[in-house]
Amino acid sequence: MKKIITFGVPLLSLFLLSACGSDDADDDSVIEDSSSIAVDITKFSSSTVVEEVSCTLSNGESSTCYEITINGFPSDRDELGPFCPPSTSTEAADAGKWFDDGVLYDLTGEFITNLDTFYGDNFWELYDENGNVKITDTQESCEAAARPDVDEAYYNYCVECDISYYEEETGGGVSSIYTIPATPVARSNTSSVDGSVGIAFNGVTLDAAAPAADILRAYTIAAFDDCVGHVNPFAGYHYHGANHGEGTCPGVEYEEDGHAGAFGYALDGYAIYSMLDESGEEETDLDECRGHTDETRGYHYHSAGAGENMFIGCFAGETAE
Amino acid sequence: MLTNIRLLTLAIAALYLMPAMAHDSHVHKAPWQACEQKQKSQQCSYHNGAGDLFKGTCQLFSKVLMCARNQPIIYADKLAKQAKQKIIDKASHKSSN
Repeated sequence: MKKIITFGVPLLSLFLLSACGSDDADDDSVIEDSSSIAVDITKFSSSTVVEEVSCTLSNGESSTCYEITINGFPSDRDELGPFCPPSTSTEAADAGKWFDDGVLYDLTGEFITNLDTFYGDNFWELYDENGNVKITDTQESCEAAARPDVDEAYYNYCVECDISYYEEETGGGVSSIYTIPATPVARSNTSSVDGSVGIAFNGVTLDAAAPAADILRAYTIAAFDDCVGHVNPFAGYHYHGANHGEGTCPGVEYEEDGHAGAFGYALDGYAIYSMLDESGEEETDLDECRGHTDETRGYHYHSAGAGENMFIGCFAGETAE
Repeated sequence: MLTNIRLLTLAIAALYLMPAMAHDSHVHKAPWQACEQKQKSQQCSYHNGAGDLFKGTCQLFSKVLMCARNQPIIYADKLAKQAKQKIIDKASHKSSN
């Protein structure tokens, strides 16, 4: 996998270290049924640039891939957020989200007020005596609070970074380049997620699990918007969960047969569909990567719930080197 | 008098204990804890704060095992109904014997 962003060498190194795609060495599970359907590049938004290239897959074989350049700003929205609630009286409509143990919560002022009870620790206090929530509202503060070793000055802050600090053009995002197989190739053994998971059709990265324990250890909340996305200095705007059709987050249309709708491709080229079908039911035969096969769609994944801090469990297909 | 001293002692003890208890508390990390003693691909499960049951297998994410659900969520109300049904079944089995 190739991924490029332009933030200077230290940040780039950090990001590349965390975006290695997959780890082949330690996986021993076998996914049996992986009928493969070619990637449909027309699904991507017009702001996404797709180029056909020669590539080498993780099994060492030569193949054809798509080099996909996304601009990092969701093509189906005009603005990001809201993220942190400005005050302890802010209602859900004006606030973002936070997740914990599989549940996606409205990050309301009330939720912020009750963090000490929620986490059973009375050190939590993200607001001042006037009921204003302490928010990282400058680039300096967001970068001090968004790094793994959070600056202690920003303990008890709701962390949000404005995309304008990092956008490459006004109203844009942070561009990234991904290479995915043009037609997925099933692996004999699954491969672990170790960095980005895939690309949404709207031009945003589907990222690996957010380091929730590190975030909470510093008494910070790295607020998401309704789409379970947020901005960090390393990756720009990116998703940590799939939540469509709620609040400011556009929905994903169901397929004609009532099957969940697709919203992106994993880095192995298999499509990722929403969790639930039109009847609100979840598939019951998902393998450990959260994939299964049907006659219409071949092998494909279903995303986990919006609050589960993940999309898929592993890669069932080869990724590009 | 003795009662007052006891109350005062209890109050002081509580003042000392409360912060200590608070800082010993956890952050919510059930999906990771569910795989702490397990290998990759082993089955795992955890409950969320609402009591819903998540069942899946342990998978590596950035080299750390986490429980990746691959079965539909069993919601707490369904779990309660199942438990109630179990009790009813047990009771009816007993009465029929």
